[in-house]
Amino acid sequence: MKLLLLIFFTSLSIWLPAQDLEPKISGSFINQKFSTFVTSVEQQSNFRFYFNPSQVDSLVVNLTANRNSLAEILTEIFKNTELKYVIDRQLNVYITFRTPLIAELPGYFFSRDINATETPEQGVNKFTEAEKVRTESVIVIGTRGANSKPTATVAGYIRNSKSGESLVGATVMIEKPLIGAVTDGNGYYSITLPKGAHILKVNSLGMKGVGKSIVLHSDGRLSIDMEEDVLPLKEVIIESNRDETILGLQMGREKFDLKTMKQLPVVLGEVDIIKTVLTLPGVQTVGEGTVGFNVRGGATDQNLILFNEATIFNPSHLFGFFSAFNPDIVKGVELFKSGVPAEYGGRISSVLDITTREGNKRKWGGSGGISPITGRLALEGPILKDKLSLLVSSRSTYSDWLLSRIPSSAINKSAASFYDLNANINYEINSKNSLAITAYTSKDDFKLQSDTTYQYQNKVLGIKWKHIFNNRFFGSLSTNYSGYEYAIQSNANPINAFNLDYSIRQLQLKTDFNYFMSSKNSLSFGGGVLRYDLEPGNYQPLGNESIVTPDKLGSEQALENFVYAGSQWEVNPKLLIYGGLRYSFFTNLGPHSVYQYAPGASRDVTNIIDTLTFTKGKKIASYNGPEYRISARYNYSRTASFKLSYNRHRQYLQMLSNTTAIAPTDVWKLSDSYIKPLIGDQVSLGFYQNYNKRSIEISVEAYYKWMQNFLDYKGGAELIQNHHIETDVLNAAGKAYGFEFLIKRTAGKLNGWLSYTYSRSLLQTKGATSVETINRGTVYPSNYDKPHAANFISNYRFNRRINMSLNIIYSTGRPITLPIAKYVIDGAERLIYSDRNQFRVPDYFRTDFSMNIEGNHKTKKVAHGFLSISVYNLTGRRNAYSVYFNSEEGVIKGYQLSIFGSPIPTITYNFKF
Amino acid sequence: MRRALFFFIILGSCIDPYQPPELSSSAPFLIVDGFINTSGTSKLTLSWSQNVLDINTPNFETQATVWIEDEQGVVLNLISDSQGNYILPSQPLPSTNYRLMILTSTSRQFQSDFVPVLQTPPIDSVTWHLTDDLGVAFTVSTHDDLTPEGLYKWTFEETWEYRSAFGASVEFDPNTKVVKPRIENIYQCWRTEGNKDILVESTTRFKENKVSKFKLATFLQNSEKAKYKYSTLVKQQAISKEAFNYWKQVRQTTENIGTLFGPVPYKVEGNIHSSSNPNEFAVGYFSISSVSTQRASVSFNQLPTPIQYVTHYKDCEAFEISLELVNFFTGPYLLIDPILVGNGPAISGYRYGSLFCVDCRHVGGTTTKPDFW
Repeated sequence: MKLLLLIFFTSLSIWLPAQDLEPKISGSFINQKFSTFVTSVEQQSNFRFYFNPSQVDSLVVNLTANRNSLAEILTEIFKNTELKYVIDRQLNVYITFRTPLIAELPGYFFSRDINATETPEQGVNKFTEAEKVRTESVIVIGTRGANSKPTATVAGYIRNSKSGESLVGATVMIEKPLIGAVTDGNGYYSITLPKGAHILKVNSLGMKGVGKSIVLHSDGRLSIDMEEDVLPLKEVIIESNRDETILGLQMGREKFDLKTMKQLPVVLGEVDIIKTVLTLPGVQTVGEGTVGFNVRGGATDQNLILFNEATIFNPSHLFGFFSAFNPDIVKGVELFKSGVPAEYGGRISSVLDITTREGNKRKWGGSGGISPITGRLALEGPILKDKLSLLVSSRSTYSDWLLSRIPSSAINKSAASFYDLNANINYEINSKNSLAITAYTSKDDFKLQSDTTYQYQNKVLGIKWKHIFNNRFFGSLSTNYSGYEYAIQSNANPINAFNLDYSIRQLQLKTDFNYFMSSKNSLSFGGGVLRYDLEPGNYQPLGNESIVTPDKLGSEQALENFVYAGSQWEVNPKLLIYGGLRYSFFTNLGPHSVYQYAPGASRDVTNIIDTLTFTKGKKIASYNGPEYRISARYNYSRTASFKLSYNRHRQYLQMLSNTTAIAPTDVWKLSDSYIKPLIGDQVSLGFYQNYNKRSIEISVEAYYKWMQNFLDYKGGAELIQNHHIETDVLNAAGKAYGFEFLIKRTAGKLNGWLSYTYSRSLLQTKGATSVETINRGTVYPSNYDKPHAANFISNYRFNRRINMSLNIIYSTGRPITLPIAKYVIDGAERLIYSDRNQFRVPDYFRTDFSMNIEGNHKTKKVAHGFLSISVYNLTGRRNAYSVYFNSEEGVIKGYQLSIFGSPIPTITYNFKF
Repeated sequence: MRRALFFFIILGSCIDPYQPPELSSSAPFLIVDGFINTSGTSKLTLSWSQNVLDINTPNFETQATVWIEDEQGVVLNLISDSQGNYILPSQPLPSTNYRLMILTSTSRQFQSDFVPVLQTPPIDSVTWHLTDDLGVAFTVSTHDDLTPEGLYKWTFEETWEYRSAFGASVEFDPNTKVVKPRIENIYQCWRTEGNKDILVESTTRFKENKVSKFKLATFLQNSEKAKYKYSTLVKQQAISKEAFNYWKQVRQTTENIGTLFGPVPYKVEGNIHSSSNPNEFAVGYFSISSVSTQRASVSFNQLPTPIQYVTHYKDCEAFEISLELVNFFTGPYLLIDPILVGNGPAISGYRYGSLFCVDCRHVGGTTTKPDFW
């Protein structure tokens, strides 16, 4: 049957030339409007007409019938027009403009061998050229004449037909008039349409497009199952986004699923969410082997990384070589670079929203993988069929060999391991209520030079209850816990053996509501409360001999409350606007001791004049403020649009890090009396145009960002176990601007994209005194300022079984501080460094290649094989990760460290059964 | 059910030498090396910084006027040796705080912050132990009951005995063209070197002002230092918290850069500033303290015997020259010993080797036995 699903029809209706059973029509229709004619026909027979009044309003009927068949009459009426008709078994009459309905099944429809591999290539092309919509029989929704309103609302779930899992972000739309909706996080949609006949098109990433002929009489429900597209063909994946880019309100949003990720060449054989994000325009990293990413000139801690709505504090495993998410269980990933809706808040740069699959609701199954570095397994299935599903997954390392390859004696004598575990339970209690529970943990354990052990762990638990009040109004109540902790232990010398712990815990309770007021208006609103608890450092002796002084930094706690509301309004078919407001209140609470510094003096330990002690629950500092979220889209043609957005975000939790990459020991710090909340504003403007039947998309987005209270650090700042962190951090102002140009081909044998990004990210630190000033108060580039970046991502499909990808990545080298002079002290050469970030490492350039070879496409066979050959860094260019100078035996030597300095080939064989 | 099998992966990462672009340095910085030792003669060395790729020796500031003064303005002058060194003879320093004043030959004026005169506790012990990676590590332990926390900086002078590849018993006198017995020892040498790393430690995180086995120096058990005898003179100096931070930062910016999670390098400023321009500073940290010393040594017979020592002389070989040709003996070579015919006393010629292999002084040592040996 798979073959049949590959064949798409504009429209397919069952047509029976059952002349005898058809009522005959009689009457004189002279100079009548077509609608009058229809009314009289409907009165004297059981025929029901479905048509677009605007297409027939110029038509004048001038004939006399005497027990003629309706077909004869209509043929006569439509003789010199482009109108076509079809009459089905139920005596419904469909009148369409220009496009003739297929009135009989193609001759080969039933006779063809169902083995897809024997499908002639041209046959496939023929149908891929056509609109990929499959319609079945007409679905009647509601009761005819139930009310007199001109519109009605259809709502329901969009699900994967195979697993029963809901599909997030699927688009549901009709083309005439153009009305669309997108499914929410539970796969639920609600769309308000004019009453009458429509073709409801449904598209979702990685699924086959579906078209349903519906006749809408009044409000009703329609859940639609979509079939997975078996073959990882990019054209299908992109298909679903075609209309969205132009018609959607969102700008600066990127969306992809596991299939998209699988097409990109990978390093170390693992599909990786964050590495995929890095191929998108406007997303940068300071270097390979780091999971932290920078969006539009923002710092790595300014990205809100959500895993089923819960915050993830450290998204990396193994020094950042892997991201901490098992790719097998990921359903979809969305990255917002701008135009962030009001429901998201807490970080100023971007939102990376990762949702996992819910688990197969229809049958038990599993998936897994094994590589020299990791092994992973996922099991899923129904506990109650179609009601309650379970998904559990685990991933772990069992090899330390990778470390021995890292060119640092500090690392290659070391050991490392990690794992992550995930469990999801989804329960569809009834048609109005559903419950989802997610549990996730990731843990890393590593040892440097065999005496210091580092451990870090993410822990997440989320529960979400969703209730549908009616077709237009639904809401959810959810609570989630996110924890991150690390521990460092050293016992090389029993006298100095210690254990250092850090932890952050975040508990959130929130509620979200969506109300679809009309086809043109929708409203979302909600609110919530967040509780933060931090143990910023607990340094304890380890063992009896240790003389280490226990040192515990005072715990920190805070409450953040927020409310938000956002409304989308279609002013007219061309103009769509969204206005949202989020208001957050943050209070840092006791117990805590706060040092007071002499007014006017530099914030330094020597200037401490007093210590204020706050008791439990006492307010230490509080901040609040609005966050504006405004977007607008204007279509100036069917294939082109302008979009504009303005966003403000507030961030009350920042990461303290003066290393280039995210280090596992980096600590998160709450805003307090001295560290003010980070405020980011972004204005962005975009232009989108599709060409060539929408198979080529061109977009240009420009943005300008302002950041207030950005944290920078004094040289040599001590961030661990610091009782007065405010003396080591500096308040900087940041700005970032740039534009992103993207040309994307979404159909045909060759698809992919070419992007060019120009972006700057600049800081200015001008304190009251010279120690609180960097580079004498001048503007300097941030650590991740990379002005030019170009990505070429391509996929060429030779035939249905072989496709090839080639990626070319270029960017300017990141800024560094270089030595400008040398000197001798204590018999050894030493260096004097330049002002901060005045030089750059050499430019980055990398080419990746991969080839996927599919087994045959028989749909029923023991295993479905899939061979993937990839080469990361094909040219073997030694891209500088860092440039540094060391004093060795008293002589200064310069080095350039490359993480992947040679081509890295990987062969992967996957099979599915 | 899906499974993935990975056939192979080759990971290649590497470190390459890096030549920085020709950096146009601003005006050179004044470098102040040394400190005031209240328990002996003090020496400060003034020089100017160089461009990173400059291979010449640094320019010394030989014409400066250097003095220290206390808060009442009482001045003690340092005496220039005209080679960039400024000497303060051993003398008691009665005041609690002093600062350093420098007036260069180009009339640029620098001054340090006032620094306290610190008393250094004695070294408890300097000991050695074998390490897991076939090394020998020397460590220092100290404590101070008078102050709750201590900050220390150590330097050391290591001396080791080594011997050239061949012990020469004869020498050729090019004037008289005669081979005669060698009286002067060029076989057994002692070499002394200072430490290169910045060695500082703080007891702030400990309950007691106690440093236990702080690692100073290591060498391999098969190295030249382990072959005969090794001795180290450890000098301990109490420093202030600011000085500790300064040295730690200097170490951080030159010795610990480049690891994946390494800090971003930065400009480190000490406590010596220009008197006229607030943005200008001199490199170095001025401090005053007494110095405690202790010597410790280890001999080869206390260490495990390696399979083979790796020394400067591992590629040395001896050649032979006949009696007839010995009169024409010339070039960078030295005679080693006679080649006997049978059991002698008749000789057929001499063995000889390169100057480098025969004269131990060529590697940088001295044949004078140190008095502590």
